[in-house]
Formats: sequence, C-alpha cells, structure tokens
Amino acid sequence: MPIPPCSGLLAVARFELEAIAGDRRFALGLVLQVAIVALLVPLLTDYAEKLGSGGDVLGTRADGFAPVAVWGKGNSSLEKAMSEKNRLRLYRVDSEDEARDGLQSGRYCMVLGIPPSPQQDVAVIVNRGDPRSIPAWETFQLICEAYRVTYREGLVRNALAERLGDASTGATEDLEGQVESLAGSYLEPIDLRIMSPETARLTDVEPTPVGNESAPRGNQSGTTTGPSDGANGDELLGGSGFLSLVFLAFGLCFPLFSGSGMMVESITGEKERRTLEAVLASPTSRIWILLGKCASAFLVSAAQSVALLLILSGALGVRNLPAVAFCLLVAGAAVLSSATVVSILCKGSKEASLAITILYVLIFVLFFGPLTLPGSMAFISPLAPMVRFAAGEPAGSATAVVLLSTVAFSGICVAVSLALFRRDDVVFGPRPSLQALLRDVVSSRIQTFRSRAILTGAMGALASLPAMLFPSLFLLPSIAFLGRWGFVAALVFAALVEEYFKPYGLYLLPTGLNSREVLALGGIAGLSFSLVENLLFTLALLGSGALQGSLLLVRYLLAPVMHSGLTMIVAAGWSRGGYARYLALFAASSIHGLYNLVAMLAVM
Amino acid sequence: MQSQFGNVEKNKEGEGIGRAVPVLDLEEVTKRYGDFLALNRISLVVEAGECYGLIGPNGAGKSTLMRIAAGILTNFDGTARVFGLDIKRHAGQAKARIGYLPEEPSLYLRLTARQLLRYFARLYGRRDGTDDRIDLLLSLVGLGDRADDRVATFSKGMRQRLAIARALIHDPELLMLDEPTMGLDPATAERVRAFILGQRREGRTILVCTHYMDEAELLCDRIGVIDGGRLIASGTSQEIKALCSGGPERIEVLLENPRLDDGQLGAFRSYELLPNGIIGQADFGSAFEALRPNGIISIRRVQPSLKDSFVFLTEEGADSAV
Repeated sequence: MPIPPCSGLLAVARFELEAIAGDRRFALGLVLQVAIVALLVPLLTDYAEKLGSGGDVLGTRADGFAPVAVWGKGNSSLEKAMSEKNRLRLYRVDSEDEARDGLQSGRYCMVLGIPPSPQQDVAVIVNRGDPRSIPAWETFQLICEAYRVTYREGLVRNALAERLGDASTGATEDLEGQVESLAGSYLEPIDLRIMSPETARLTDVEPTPVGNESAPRGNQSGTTTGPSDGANGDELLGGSGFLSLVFLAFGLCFPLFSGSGMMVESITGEKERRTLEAVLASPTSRIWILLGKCASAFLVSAAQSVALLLILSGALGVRNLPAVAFCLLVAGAAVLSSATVVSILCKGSKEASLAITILYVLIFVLFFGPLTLPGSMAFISPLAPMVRFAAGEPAGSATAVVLLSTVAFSGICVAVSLALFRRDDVVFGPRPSLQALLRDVVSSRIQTFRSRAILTGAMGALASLPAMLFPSLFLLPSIAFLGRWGFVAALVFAALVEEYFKPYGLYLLPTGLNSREVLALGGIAGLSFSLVENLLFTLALLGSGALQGSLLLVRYLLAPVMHSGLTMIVAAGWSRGGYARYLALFAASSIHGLYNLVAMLAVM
Repeated sequence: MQSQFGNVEKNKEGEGIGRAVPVLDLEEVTKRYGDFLALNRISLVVEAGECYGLIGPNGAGKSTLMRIAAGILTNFDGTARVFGLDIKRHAGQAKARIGYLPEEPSLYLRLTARQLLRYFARLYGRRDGTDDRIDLLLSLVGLGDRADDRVATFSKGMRQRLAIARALIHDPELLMLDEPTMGLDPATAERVRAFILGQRREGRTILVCTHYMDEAELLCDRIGVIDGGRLIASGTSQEIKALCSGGPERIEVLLENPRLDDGQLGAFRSYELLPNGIIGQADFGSAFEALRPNGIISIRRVQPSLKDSFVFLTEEGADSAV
C-alpha cells in the first residue's frame, strides 16, 4: 500500500522539530538569540542616532553622514560647498517627486531645493518638527550661512562698483555713507524655507523679497512642517531612521542563520553519523525527506524571525509589518536553500562549518554591501524591499524584481539540492569533486557538437569575469611589493588566469573527444572570450572619453586571433592529459604574458 | 503473517500473471563509485521464504549489493526487482515491504528506544497499533524493560537488537540484514542468530550478509560468494563446498608434538590449529613430509568446510556458478 508523500514529510519535519525541542542547549540558544537582539535594540537605536548626527560613537573616525537629496539648479556654488563636507552626502535627483519619495522612505534626511536664481530662497524639506534633530544639521546651517554671506558680499560689491562708476562721472554723495546704506539693505538673511513633505512642494516657493527676518532654525518660517510631524512614525525617517532600518534588517537576519545551522546538523550530521541510511531505507522518498528537513528548519527560523520582528517593530516603528514579514521569509528561504546545498555537499561537520561560515560572509556581503552603494544600486540587496516596506514605502517595480529574483534563487537552490540529494555518491560517498559533478551533469545532457560549442562559447564569455576580477585583486599587492616587476608579474598572472578559464567549458565535457573537435571548441571559447573582452574594453574607453579608433582597430583584429589560437593550444594539451595539460597552459600563458607586456610597452 | 509470504501474485511490471514472483530478482546489476567498479553485472534470485546468505571478503561489494536491493542506492545499471516491483520506479512500494538492518546500527542516540521506533513507524506510514507493536518488538529483542531509556545508554549488543527491532517495525516480508552479528560478544551474537532463525521459521524471506562462514551455514538455505564485485558462486553450502573438489585436499593430522614452525605451517594453504594437531587445506604428500618430524599419530582426508571453499573460491577467482 503506497504511503502518502506528505506522511513522510510530516514525519521528518516533526522529528526534526522534536529534536530541537528535545535539545535543550539548542533551544536555549534560539531563545537567547532573540533575547540578545531584543536587548540590543536600545543600543542600536542610540548608535544609529549618534551615527546619524555625526556624534563620536566609537572614536574620531566614526562620524556619521547625512544623506541629502539635491534637486533644482545644478552646479551651484552651494551644492559644491556642501559636497566637500564629509558629513553631508549629496544625492542629485531628477525630480522633486523622487526626492520626496526618498525622504519618506528614509533614504534621505532632507531635500535641498536650489532655486534658479540666488535671489530666491533655498528651500529645505525636512520631515521633523525640529530640524536640529536632523543629522549634521549644524554643518548644513554653516554652509548655508557662508553661502549667504558670500552672496551678499557679491551683491554689495556689484552695487558699490555701480555707484563708484556713477561717482566717477560726477556724483557728489558721501561714498562711505553709500557703502553703509548699501550694506544695510543687502545684509538681510536669505530665507531657508523649512517645509513638510506632506504639505509643501519646492515648486511652491516664491521669490522672497529681501527682508524676511525669520531664522532658519525651527518651523517658524514660511511654510511649516505640517500636522503629520511626530505622528505616523516620523521618528523612523531621516538619516538615523535609515540606519535603524538597516539595524532592523541586520537583527532580523540572525534567525536565518540558525536555520542554516539546523540544516547542517540535520543533513551533514546525519550523513556523518550514518543515521541517514536507515531513513533512506524507508518508503519515504528522498525528496520528501529533504523537504521535511527544510520545512522544519524554515519553520523554526520563521518563528524566531517573526518573534524578533514583533519586538523590533515596536522599538523601531516598522510600518508595513506583513510586507516586512513576507520579505523576511523570502530572504530566509534564500539563505536556507543555499545552506541546504552546502549541507548536502559537505562530508562532515568540520567541512560544513567552514563552508557555512564562507556562505555567511557571502550572504552578508550580498545583503548589506549594496545598501552602502548609491541609491540607484542599493535596491539589488535582498534586504532592500524589507527596508523600504519598513519605512512605509509602497512596493515598486524594483522591489518586485528583487523579491522575484530572491524567490528564483531559492528555487534554483532547492532544485540543485534535490538533484544532489538524489545522487548516491554525494549522499554516501565517495563524493566527487565539484568539477566532476558538473562534468557528470553536463556530459549526460550535452551530446552534440553544436551544444558543446554553445557551452564552450558561453563559458569562454563568462571567463571574462575571473579574468577581470583576479588580476585586479593581484595587481595592487604585486606592485606594492615588487615594484615594476610586480607590474610584469601582474601581466603574466592575468595571462595565466585567462588561459586557464577560457576553455573551462571543455573541462566539463567528457574526455575522449577527437582532436579536431577539441581544437574547434577551443577556438570558439577563445573567440567568444575576446568578443566580450573587446566589448568591455570599448565600453571602458567610451566611459573614460579616451576612445581611440586605431587602438580599437588593432585590438579588434589581433585579440580574437591571439585568444583563439592560445585557447586551442590549452585545449589540445587538456585533451592529451597528464603533463601535456600543464605544458600547454604554461606555453599559452607565456605567449599571452609576453603579448601583454609588448602591448603595454607599445602603448606607453 | 504466513499468508503474506505467498508470492504468487500479479507482476506489476506486466511480465506475467499468476506466475510465482521471486522476492528479490537482480539482473546484471552494476554499480560504480567514480572509476571504481563496486559491482559487476550481478544477477541473483531469492525465492519466498528463503534465507539467502552473502559472503565475501572486505570490500567485495556485499553491502553495496544489499543497499541496492533495499532501494537505498538508486544510481546503478541493471534491474533490481523486489516482489516484482522495479526498485527504481516503484521504490516506495517496494521499500514498504523490506526491513533493512544496516552494517552499523546508526541509531539516534538522543532518543529513547520507544521514540526511535515510533519515528520509523511514522516513516513507514504506520499509525494504528504502533505502541503495541513497539512493545512487542522490544520484548522480542529483549529490550522490553529499556523501552524508555535513551539509546546512548545502550551497549553495542543492545543497539544491534534495537536496530533489528527497527527493521521489523512495519512487519516486512523481506528482511535484509547486513552483518547482523559483527562485533557482538558470542552470547549476544548467538541470541541474534536465534532470533534470525525464529524469523526464518516464521516464513519471512531473509537476505543476510556475513563474514562468518559457520553463521552463513547455520542460517542460510543458499549462499552467494561475492568477490571483486562479482558473484562468483551461488548455491547451498554443500554445492559451494563441492566447488572445491578440484582444489587442494582438506587434511586432519594428529601429532605427538603439536608445536609447528612456520615452515611446517607453510605446507597448508589454510589451516586451523587443534590441541593435538592441525586441520586445513594441503597436498596430502607435502603435509605428510612436513609434519613427519613431529610424530604423526594419524592423518586423514576430511570433507572441506565452507571456509575452505570460500578461501579457495576467493583466491582462485573462480567464476563458476551453481
């Protein structure tokens, strides 16, 4: 009698959950994790506040910055003066709506509207009752004051020049008296209009006659901050609010990693202790066993995350709680599914611990790295949707793209996990190398010359990534330590990296291909590599504005020939096996390195 | 339970109706681990109610064959059918009728015996009467009074018995036991053997893998000898022994002085020392000449044991099959 699949899945999930509940130390660890993050909330918010206001948190170098959106007239002296200050980070936006959205979402702490004419008021939109709570407000104030003084001085000087011109033509009034009179009329402050985003638009700003005495501090000038101040979680916004959201995301990420730990214990641990064999002997299929394990880990992570979210949302004023929870679960699924792949691949706990640590680092870089980039790039972080929803920002197309990409990534990881978990060699060993696994998968699916050509061509094109990355990482240290020889070493190293990676598609194909086919595939790999490399080179030249037709022509003629020829050499050596592989790689790298050197000398 | 073992049933693969379907039918089974050939085109049939033993040196492929038959290893060439069901295509249905004891007990040490059996009962889709069956099985393997103790506190023998109980939790028709007595003390090993014999008497089909020749001879109706991934012989113990007819004789020599040096022992291909002599495989004339200085009381030819046959077969690499 067949056993319903869900029965096995539920049995495994229940078993894993009971195991956690029964493991007092692990359960205590989960609770403590939530408690510690909750206890850190006051500290984090305080830190965010201090960091945002430019306070000295950890030392003199821990000064914060305030993100300011600038809209209006470009290249003004005011903007230039502000951009020179470390505490202000200016983001030029195209429209007022964009600036307003950024202000509401917490990306910017204020918006600076620069009028076309200096005679008009500089308009500032903030969303707090007291602009002094805005990070780096004092810095901002000082620059504006200086701008006004400079501007007034200019006006006085121009007026004086006019009057002096008149005097030279016969005017008889007292010059000193004229100067005082002029200075008095122009020494009126130019108004800084402080407005609320809900009630004002920059375009509403009318030219204000000189003479308005209102001080730029507080809300008393012109348009006020409006009725929403202090309500609707306004404390969330501004620079410190943005940091608080990042801390929120940071805190919420912790439970995702405990789920990964569970997966390692549940899969790699069982492999290591050999308890998996008896489980796999049961009628429950491998798919349901794996999904059961994933489900239990996901449930624990989700429960922990939601508990933390509820605690943190109270402290940090999260707005769209269901949407944030959803984003959190999506991000959690991505972390957990990638940890599942690692857990299945690893042979033992030690190996898994190392691999999971590396995975954590990669995830942190992926999650938090983009948040430090300019606004246009920050959205690629899987945490960006969470931060946006937490700030009360509506879902946009960028949010949808990121969420869908994260879901797709999770799906791919789950599919890879299932494929790996079905393999006897991965589960019971001896586990093949990653390259052997890839070769196995590829060789079973790619049978014709055409498909092989597509594979080697695609891999040749992709080889441009390591070809760019590794040498650039190697270049600076090598020059630092070896001087001019370091530069030569970097050129040779770049050649070696390129020659190794270009025919990578061939490494994934079964051995025993005939030599003509190997040479043809090598040529295709080299050609596709050179096409991508030339394209990137052209784009780089275009970007730098130093496009040289002759240089491009030479490159477009020589590079494809050289890359194809050298990749054919490496491919031929690879197909022969043994020492021939290393000899071919060495020969191709040497020729390539020499070419690089000569080309560089010729350009210099 | 007996009624479950009548294996005249419809073949699910559509190869015949009303025909007696073997409990286990392996055809040309080949398994590779990378470049290493673990099993090389093994074909084997185990009939209903039969106890079939697999013997072979370490690394011969016994456990791999066992795992394939149990549906644990799925990436292999050839066909494996259990009760007529292709183990690759109908793994769930086939495995529901198999009880498997791995080479190592592989138990969850943090659980109690009862919790462990309950988990596996769930994995096998059992709901009703699980607790009664758990109590029955634990009593059967002599662990009735330790049902609520953690497995971590169990001795090796107790763990092995618990693993056997686990293999029986779903009342399987085919029991696969991989080295059931390995590493156990003689008393516990005897207890396990008695248990297996009891199962066999009940009519359960058993596939057992062992290193011990006397155990195989005691428990099994038929025996298969595996070496280098190949099934080099298969048949009853008498048939296996008969395969040695062309090999060296088995000779028993009783001596006045049973102290033998290496040179004298070298005359024997395999041997066992007796209190007053030696018994083993050797050429009659050579043995006589080698042992004469020690004062031969008697020398006679005896029937070869299964061990002799095993040594002969695995060393000669015979490829004959009965």
